[in-house]
Amino acid sequence: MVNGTQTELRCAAWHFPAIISRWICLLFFLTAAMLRAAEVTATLEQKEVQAGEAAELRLEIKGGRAAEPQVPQLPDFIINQGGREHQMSFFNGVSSATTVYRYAVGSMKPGDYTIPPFKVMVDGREFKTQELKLKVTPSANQQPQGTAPGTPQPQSPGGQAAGEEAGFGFLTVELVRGSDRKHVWVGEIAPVRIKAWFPAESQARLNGGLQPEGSAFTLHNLSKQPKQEEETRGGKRHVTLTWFGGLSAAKPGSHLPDLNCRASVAIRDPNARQRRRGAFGDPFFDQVFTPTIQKDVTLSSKTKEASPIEVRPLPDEGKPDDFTGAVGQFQFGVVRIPSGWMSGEPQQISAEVTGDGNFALLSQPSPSPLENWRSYSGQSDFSAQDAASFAGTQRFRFNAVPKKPGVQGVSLKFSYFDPESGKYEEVSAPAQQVEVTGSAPAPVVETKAADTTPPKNPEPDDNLAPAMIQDTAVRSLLPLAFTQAFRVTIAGSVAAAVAGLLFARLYSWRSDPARRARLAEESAARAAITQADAFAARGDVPGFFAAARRVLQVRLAAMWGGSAQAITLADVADRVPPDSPVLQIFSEADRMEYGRAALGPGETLQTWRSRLQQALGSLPA
Amino acid sequence: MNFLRALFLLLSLTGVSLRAASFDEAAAALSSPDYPKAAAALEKIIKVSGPSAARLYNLGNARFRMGEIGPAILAYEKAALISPRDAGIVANLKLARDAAKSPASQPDRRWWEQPLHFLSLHEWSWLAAAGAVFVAVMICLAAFSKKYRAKSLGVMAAAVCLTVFSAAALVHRAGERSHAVITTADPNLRLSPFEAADSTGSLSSGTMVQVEKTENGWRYVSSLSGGIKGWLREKDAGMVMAP
Repeated sequence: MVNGTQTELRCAAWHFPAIISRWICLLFFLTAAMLRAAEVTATLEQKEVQAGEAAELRLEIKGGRAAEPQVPQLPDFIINQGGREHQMSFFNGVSSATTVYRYAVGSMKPGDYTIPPFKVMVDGREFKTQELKLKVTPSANQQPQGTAPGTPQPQSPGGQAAGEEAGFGFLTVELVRGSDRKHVWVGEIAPVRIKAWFPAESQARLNGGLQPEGSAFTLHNLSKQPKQEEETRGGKRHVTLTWFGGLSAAKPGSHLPDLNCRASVAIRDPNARQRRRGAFGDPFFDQVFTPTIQKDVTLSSKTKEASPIEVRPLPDEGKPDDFTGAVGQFQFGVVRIPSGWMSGEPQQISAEVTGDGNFALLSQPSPSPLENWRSYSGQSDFSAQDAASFAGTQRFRFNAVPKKPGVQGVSLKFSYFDPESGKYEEVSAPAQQVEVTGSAPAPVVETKAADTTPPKNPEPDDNLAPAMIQDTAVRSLLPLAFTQAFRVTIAGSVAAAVAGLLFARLYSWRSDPARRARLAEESAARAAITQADAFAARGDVPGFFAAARRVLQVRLAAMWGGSAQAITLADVADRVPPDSPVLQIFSEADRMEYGRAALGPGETLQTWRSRLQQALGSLPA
Repeated sequence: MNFLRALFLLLSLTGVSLRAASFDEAAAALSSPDYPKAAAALEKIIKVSGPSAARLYNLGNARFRMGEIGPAILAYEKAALISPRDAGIVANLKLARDAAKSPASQPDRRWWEQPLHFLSLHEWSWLAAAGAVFVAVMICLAAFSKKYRAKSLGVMAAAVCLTVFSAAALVHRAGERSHAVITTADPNLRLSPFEAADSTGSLSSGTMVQVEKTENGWRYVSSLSGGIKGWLREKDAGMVMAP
């Protein structure tokens, strides 16, 4: 029934290529939008306001995906978020995404204020706005509690919102907390439940989010998706949308929580229903045929039933010097302080503060005793545990420098205002023993005469870490990587590694046992051939055949594997053809060895020498 | 020969004591406070006997307190080049960048770039060189000894990873060699390298830029955040890695 989206997409008839091309175009435009350079600007609507009044600060982020901006802190100056808008548009193929944050800024004390830059992370890069100047003049009516100029007055004299008057819907705001406290304190973020009520038979569409009106309250961490339910109120059925968030009061007094929300609501025309009473005599048909009225309305929380919230100012009594506006209940979590320090040398301290309240105004804890330490502003990040109640943990990391040597106890402390007890609280972490070595920094200058002594002003208060007293090692600014020596070292190492690998490969090849055995066999074969030739020349028939068989055994062993001496005539007869000269030589050698017979008729050793050559030629080398 | 050695030793010791005295004088001027005198003294020491993290850091402090944010950032950047993890240098560089009022004096690093900036380029160089030599020696030893090869495989793999990571860090950060910092107040960037050329915009003092080329006393620079590019006179920006 209630449609929470702002834009309706009208799909064309089924035409697959057209749909695909549209998606591709959409993807292209979205990519183009992400790749566009981001731009962050901050502007003030007014340059001058009276004390107790607020000016609107507009922070505009164009392009990219932006994280929540880091709101700067300024003593005696209030910056409260007022709302956020997000727009995305395509024009001539160029897309642009714009997020606008609105803040109410001002102070209770007159003066010239310079608002430090807002920091925003856009697509992983930090952007900072320029500084802004705001002049706060003394209040004309001396009544800071009064309604500030620019604060919209109730639209309806009767206190009834226009939307409710027409029966289109309204908003309600309820404080949600465990205690029965009815008031809130300035600066406190009170958890609230916000409901938008629509008639049960209506159709509604929200045209934007909830917006606070006026400068009395600001809205924080509103839940993104409202919960839809059906409820009965005043005997009438309604459809409700429920958000949770935090409401922070900016000024004391009794104020109605003034929120509004734009919506398009369509309801059955009650007058037409009365006119058509009994036309069909059936409630179903009467309802179906009753015309509807659609209207763009602004739902408001300023209804007759709305009750104002009492906002009390923070008391001056008991206000600690280091109080910076944190209202809630906080305590220390993990605190890490290095145990060893050197006098005058900065080191990092980290501390976690957990609790519930306006963490944005929680200041960095300071080392105690204060006179022994100097600390510098560091970094902090917040992780929320509950978006509605603002419970979470803030982690601080900052540098500190010990001023005094020796073993000493150090603690961290901060202060806040507890809204339940109505008192300021100072929290200290358990003290830790640290040892500071070195001597206390002393002025180096020895003055010549007392009357010419310059005023000692060693460290202006600009948060700059102190000067180094001792010189450090002289080094070239050009890194080693950009020098010739580095290139030579790397090239030499690579060459040495390659040479090592090549030498190792060569060594491995040369020491291969199979290769060495083969070489030995070849050598033996060559020696046997030489020996056979010598026997043939001398006419030593048994010696020739013994040498010839040894040559063939070596060659056959290389082919078949195994030992050369183990190859017998039977092996050769099994594996070579019967007419092979190899077999003939083996047979003749065996005959000569055992029988000592003479050569056959017409045969000479030269003939057998030729057969040996044939036999060797028939075997692969 | 002995006389020459004695003379050399004497001259060296005299030089060390003179440098120490000059640094102490500069530190004294810084705390008196006489920032122009301190800055001049530190620049002279750096010119004569070379840069150190302490000299550059103190020079940055002097320039910062003189209101010269651009030269202060340049000095801190140089100090951070030598000693990137020094808490004082990091803190003061951040303060100076914040004070520069430039929306992009130094763009933030992505998460995976953070470890690559934990060490200085000098330290990465040493790690890469030592790793390469170590790996080469290990390869040679392992190549000739099977027993050693089996035992040293894990160590060699770790050394190779470390060397490759160091080399990757050096390659990724090689562009920093051409980083420069704007040192004058809002200088105009020109379309061409001469004074009469049209302006393409201006950069705030303290902004980090990338120098793409140098020509006749002009540098073609682009801001690290992208966008603006143009020719800038050499005197308007100081190279971070220049002595």
